[in-house]
Amino acid sequence: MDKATFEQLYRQMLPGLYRLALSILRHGADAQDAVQQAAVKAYLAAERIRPGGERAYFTRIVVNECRNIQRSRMRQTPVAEVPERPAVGPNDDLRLAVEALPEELRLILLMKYMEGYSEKEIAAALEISVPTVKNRLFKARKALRRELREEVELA
Amino acid sequence: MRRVTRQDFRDLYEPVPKELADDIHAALAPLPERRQGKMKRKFTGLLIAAVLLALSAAGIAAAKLNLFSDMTDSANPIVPLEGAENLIETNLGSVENEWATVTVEQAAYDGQGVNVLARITPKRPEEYALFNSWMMDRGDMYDVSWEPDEVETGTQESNIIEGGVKIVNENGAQAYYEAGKEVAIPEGREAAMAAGCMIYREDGKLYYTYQDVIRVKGRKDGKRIVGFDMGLRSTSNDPAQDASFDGIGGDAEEQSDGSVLVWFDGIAERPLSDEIELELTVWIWPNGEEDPSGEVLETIAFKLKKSEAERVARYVPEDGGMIGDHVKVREVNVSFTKVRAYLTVDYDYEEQPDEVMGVWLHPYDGEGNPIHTGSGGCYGPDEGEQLGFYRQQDEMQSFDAIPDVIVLEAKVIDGDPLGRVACRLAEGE
Repeated sequence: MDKATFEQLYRQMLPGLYRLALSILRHGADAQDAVQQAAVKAYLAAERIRPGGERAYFTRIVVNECRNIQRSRMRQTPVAEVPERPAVGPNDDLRLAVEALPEELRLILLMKYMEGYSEKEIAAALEISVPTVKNRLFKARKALRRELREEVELA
Repeated sequence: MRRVTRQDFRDLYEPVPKELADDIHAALAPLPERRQGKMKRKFTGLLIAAVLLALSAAGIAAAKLNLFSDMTDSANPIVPLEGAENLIETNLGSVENEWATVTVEQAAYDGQGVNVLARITPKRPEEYALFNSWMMDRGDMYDVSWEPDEVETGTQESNIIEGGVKIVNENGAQAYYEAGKEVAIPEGREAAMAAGCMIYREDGKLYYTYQDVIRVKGRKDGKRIVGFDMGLRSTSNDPAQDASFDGIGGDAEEQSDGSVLVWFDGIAERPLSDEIELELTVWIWPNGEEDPSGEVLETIAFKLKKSEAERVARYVPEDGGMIGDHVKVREVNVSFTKVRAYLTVDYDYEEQPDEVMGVWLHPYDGEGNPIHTGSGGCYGPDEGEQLGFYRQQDEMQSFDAIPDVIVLEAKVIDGDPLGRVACRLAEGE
């Protein structure tokens, strides 16, 4: 894959990768750093990309970069420090419920229901088994229902 | 019931800053061009050959066990026991129309879990190929592209920015508001990115500036695509089936003859009736997956009988069930079938501040070897049946001979093990 093709592909996936980085790091500048650094590392190891597996591959590297940033900056941003938007929209309770989820459950839930990853893609991206993905989705859905205090259909 | 859509989740996060794409371009610019070359397939080819040899040697049994390949095709496989192939029911129903023939080829129900294998065969394989989004990972067969995401018809509101955003896109009206004030919709994506606007107009249609959707443009062999989808659900009126299958999962794979095999598996939270009723629904879109016109709908209803009497064993933990100082195993129950085992562990757990996601209990045999597990879940004391203690349920590797001991290791999820406790088969079991 040449550089132009790689960059075009990465840019197309950029919104989803950025959202996932933001869900982990909860800080725009850090999420930008993670996605940018991941682009360089992904390109340098691009021979590992399997056709059709680009999104899982990019996601794995972005998630790893997020972990590196968390470790190196020793920054854990608890919910209390996230600037609260005024409660004017219909989904502020959803935002709080999602942010209250443990990170591993939140990430898998958002990969599937926000970005439309298949369970196989999630497994490949996070280097875990498909049954583990199913386990965590089960827990994540239940946890979200508990946080929202109502039955939820995830479309 | 509240419906949460993909867009609802996306609206929780700010859009990509417009300078980020430029920053990435700048970061990649000084890097050297990659060498072009063929992918190394030599070892992959040998591996596939070895697998095919093993399958052909096993003959009919292997063909029938294709039903369980989703379970066995895993880093921690759950392998059905010898004789499981005798439990499989075949040819459970078929339906056809001008586009395809659909057959439920194999299914097995062991009282708590169900596995179904269906096949959809195109009527005119020389003219078109069948496609489902589960098959999208075949980059060698399909041209996949990211395309602009069109704004849905209707009115959308979001609090993605201070003061909120409103998009109107219906009955010929198109309008965009930020914090209550109407903002001119940019023409073209570049203009929208320059203005920081979350939508743009192109050829009279509205699109989201900062997101694309993945679509299959076509097959690399040029063959026309006819989209399809399948869903499996239980339809029994038996109250016992209120504990219905949680999220029947699936997978699909095109075969060399153009047919597509589709796997489903689902596990209920507790044993169900001796007989269950299922319905396979098939949607076919002759004009492609995104065009609902011409949609064809078919259903196949079928019943499955519990294939064998399960063997149930109860285990009593040693040392009062304590693992460390804040996990206590109360009781372990396992139901063994030829297909899989169902592990239920009841335990008390005192939450710890540094154990954010709690613990998970992993089974080992009496010699310390891990026993493979698959899908599972856990209820807290106040969830589900509100038992007052934790209940973890796992799909697990089954055994011909019921083990005398199962060792459970409590491990902090994404953390360290806390310790183990041996659980012995209750006397008289």
